[in-house]
Amino acid sequence: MVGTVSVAFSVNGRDVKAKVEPRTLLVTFLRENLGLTGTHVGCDTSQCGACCVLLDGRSVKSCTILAVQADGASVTTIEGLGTPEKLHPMQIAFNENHGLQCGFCTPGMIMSAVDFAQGNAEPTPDQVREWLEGNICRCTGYHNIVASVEAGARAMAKA
Amino acid sequence: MGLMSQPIRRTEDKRFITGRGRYVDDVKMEGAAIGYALRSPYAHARILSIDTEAAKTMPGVIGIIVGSELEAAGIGHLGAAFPASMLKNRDGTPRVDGDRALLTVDYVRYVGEPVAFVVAESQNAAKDAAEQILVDYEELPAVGLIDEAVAPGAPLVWPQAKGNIAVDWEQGDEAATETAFAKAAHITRIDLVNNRVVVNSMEARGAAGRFDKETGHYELFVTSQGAHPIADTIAKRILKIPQERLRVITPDVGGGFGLKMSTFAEYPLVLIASERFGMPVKWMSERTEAFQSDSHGRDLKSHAEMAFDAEGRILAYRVCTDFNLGAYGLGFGPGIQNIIPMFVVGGVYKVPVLHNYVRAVLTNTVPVEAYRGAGRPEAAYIIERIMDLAAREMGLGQDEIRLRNFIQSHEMPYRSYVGALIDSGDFQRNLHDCLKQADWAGFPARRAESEKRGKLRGRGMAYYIEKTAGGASAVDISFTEAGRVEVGVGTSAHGQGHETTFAAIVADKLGVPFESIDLIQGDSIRAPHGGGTGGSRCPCGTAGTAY
Amino acid sequence: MYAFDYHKPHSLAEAAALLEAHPEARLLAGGMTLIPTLKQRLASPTDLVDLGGLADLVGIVVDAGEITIGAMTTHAAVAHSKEIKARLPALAALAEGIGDPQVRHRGTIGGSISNADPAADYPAALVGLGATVITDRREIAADDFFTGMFETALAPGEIVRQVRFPIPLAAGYAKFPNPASRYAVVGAFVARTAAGVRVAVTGAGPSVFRLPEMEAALASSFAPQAIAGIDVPEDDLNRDPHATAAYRAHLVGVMTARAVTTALES
Repeated sequence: MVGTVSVAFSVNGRDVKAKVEPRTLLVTFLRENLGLTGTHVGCDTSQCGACCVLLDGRSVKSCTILAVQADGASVTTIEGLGTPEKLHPMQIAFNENHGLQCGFCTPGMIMSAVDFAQGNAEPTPDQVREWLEGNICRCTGYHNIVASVEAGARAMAKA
Repeated sequence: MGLMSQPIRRTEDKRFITGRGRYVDDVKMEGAAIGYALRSPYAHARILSIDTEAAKTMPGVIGIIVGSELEAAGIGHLGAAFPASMLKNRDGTPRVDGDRALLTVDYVRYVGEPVAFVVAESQNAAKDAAEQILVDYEELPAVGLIDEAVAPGAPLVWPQAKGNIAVDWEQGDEAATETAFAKAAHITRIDLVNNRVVVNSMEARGAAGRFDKETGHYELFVTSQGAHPIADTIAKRILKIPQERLRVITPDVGGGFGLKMSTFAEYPLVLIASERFGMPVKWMSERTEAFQSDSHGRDLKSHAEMAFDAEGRILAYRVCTDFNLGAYGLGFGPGIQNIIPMFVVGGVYKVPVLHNYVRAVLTNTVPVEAYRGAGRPEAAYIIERIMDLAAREMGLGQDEIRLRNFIQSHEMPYRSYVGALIDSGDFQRNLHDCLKQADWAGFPARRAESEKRGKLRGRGMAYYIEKTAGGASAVDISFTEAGRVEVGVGTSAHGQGHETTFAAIVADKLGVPFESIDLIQGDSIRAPHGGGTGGSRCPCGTAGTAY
Repeated sequence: MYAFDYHKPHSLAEAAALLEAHPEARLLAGGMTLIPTLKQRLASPTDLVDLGGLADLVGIVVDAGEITIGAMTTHAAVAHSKEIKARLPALAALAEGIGDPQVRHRGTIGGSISNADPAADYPAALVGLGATVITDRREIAADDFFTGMFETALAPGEIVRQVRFPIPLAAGYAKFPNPASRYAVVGAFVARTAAGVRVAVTGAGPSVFRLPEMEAALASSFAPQAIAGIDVPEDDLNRDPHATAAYRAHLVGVMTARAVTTALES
């Protein structure tokens, strides 16, 4: 019969070990077990992107990965990116370009954008829009989000 | 220069961009159980029996609530926001809203209607148990579309609503409109469908509640557009308790769009479950569930006719609309396409006479309620589409037909046929400026360029005028010993940035630092009573009060 | 999700043994379809056998005439492979059009073809290029691999190891994506090889299929105009809220013509 499995990975630079039910999603583990509630759940179908985190540096949807699949990996959530006192350049860009309204999609949007910016110091708006296929915002109409990502990518390249 | 007249960065962004926002699903209540709603898989069925015995023995299950228990306990029902007197049939008879219990007892009337509420240690355990609840349904004929519902002999959603008409309503003068049409040089007719939409706020609905046995107080965290309307409904109508025994708190909210104005069954259910099972209870909707349990928007069919004289000037306007109310008249639902848009039906045009006839149609679908503009965008869509079509039929430009029919600035204040007082506006200049900015005249060249690339290019023009800012509400401003200024409001932001807006106004007026201001919102006890955020009223109504 | 046991084998043999021991087990590759399916409670495997620990199944090998891709290679890896971009750009472009970046970081070619979603992109590439599926037991020609809606020639417990693509003279893929999921409402893969032209269509029917009439027309003249008059019967095509069968039939012609154009430009 079904028991628990051991997982060990790094979250925001901190080593985490736990026993979880195999059916525990990574997002559930981050939110419920670690209290990292900045990663949001917006859908059941892997489409909205509110749950984006970095897994070994690449953006993934933490609602579509079992916690146990992340065993041995390094996870970065929005809380690990920057703090209100020391913001990450992409966070600053979202603030300066009014790239959010209700803020619910924002953590996933920013994590996705950080991944994108790693290889795109001077992105075009079209490239940003293509990349953001997997991140849905219901408030802003994307215009300011695209501007934010462009500015954030430039700032990250300079940092 | 004051803060009000310049762009400022939003105060709330700091927490949103760092993952420190606090939405309802982030609210941690020690020892909280998870609620899960078992929903109807049928559009219309009679419930013969509900057997929860096997489900109650499933691992991790704390308890299961069914509708008959709520009835026995005297728990109240959901309902419409409008009193019967405010909206009735045109012959004076009362409208039919149906009767919506939190958990249905004898019939289900749409797919997604809640039948039982399972409380368990985890959502997986609650879902596992819900699958073991045996509901014996006798499936009944159902109607989903407007045309099906109004067809002769259609199955009735509510027997007392003949022909499935919940309410019929009219404004204007039918006979005078007919007389004007008889003199028309040209009549334009159009049939329009404004399809149903699922609201889909990024943050689905959710609530977390606890009952304190010692004090008899209830506390509800809920994602909403205003804590007070929900507190009022739950205290007065559902739990039937004094208002002060219930505190409703709305933390950060991931989008509202009208959906989160209303009280939904799951909100009182978490409180009832908490009282009954002795622990806090949280319920979060999943996205798939949201499609079946959130109120929907739009869903109307209109036939409109416009009579013109030989110069393309409007003589009369006639609209017949059927809108799909779903299975129950809840919240603002029954009034969305009739009384809510009634002052904007003629748009920005001089319409000498009109007749607008609107029927709310009951169907076996999810109830339809307020959604983004709530009736007014729909009204604008109808008149703007017919103006465009008329322009084509009469060989006028889209701009020209509007110029010939605008209410003129020198006629302001202008009392429209439907009774709206339009006190200002220069629509001609507005059109002129807009055409210039959009390079309207340069369109043929742009279209030719697109065609060269194998693309089609089109353009549109539409006017929108809205009667809004209804319901100013109180603002409390208090000064703390710590030197901070607390601004309490009965509205609630869900993306609008009110922490910034209100702080800017108060800082300017009081001459205190912007950073010293805290907005107290979304709290039915700490903030002054208000109607919540909706209908674009906050900057005028509440912020106006603060000013 | 229903409860299940989880296994992470370290060899193909171990994976095969686990599948043998647990007849109701499912293989977990990238999980981009399986996990949402589990979340919706549409499947209830007793066990998941995660192939994520099998490094042998990851990788891209390009030689003179072939490209071999390991089953656990992600869509992103295929899309960004310099060698695939150079030698078979249509395949890289197809991979780049699957889902969204986050799905492409996890989703795998082996998972995609084993699932055989009627609207998935990869089946069009496999059949369009005449690829070979290499399992832990045998080699299966792509034409024989996809047998129906969510059905393949894989035997119970058989595991896909690699897919081998012959490099064509020219190839192109064009799809009309569902705006929400990016799955193909209709997708057409066209390849011109020394042996002739192949046209494979996904999204339109219950399973990927070829269009012999268009293949013949394109073999005599490899240009979009060559297929202009060829109608595709709508009888066996999919119909759903996104598109009628007639619309899909129409799109087959449009997408095939666009794929030919892309192939000519490559």
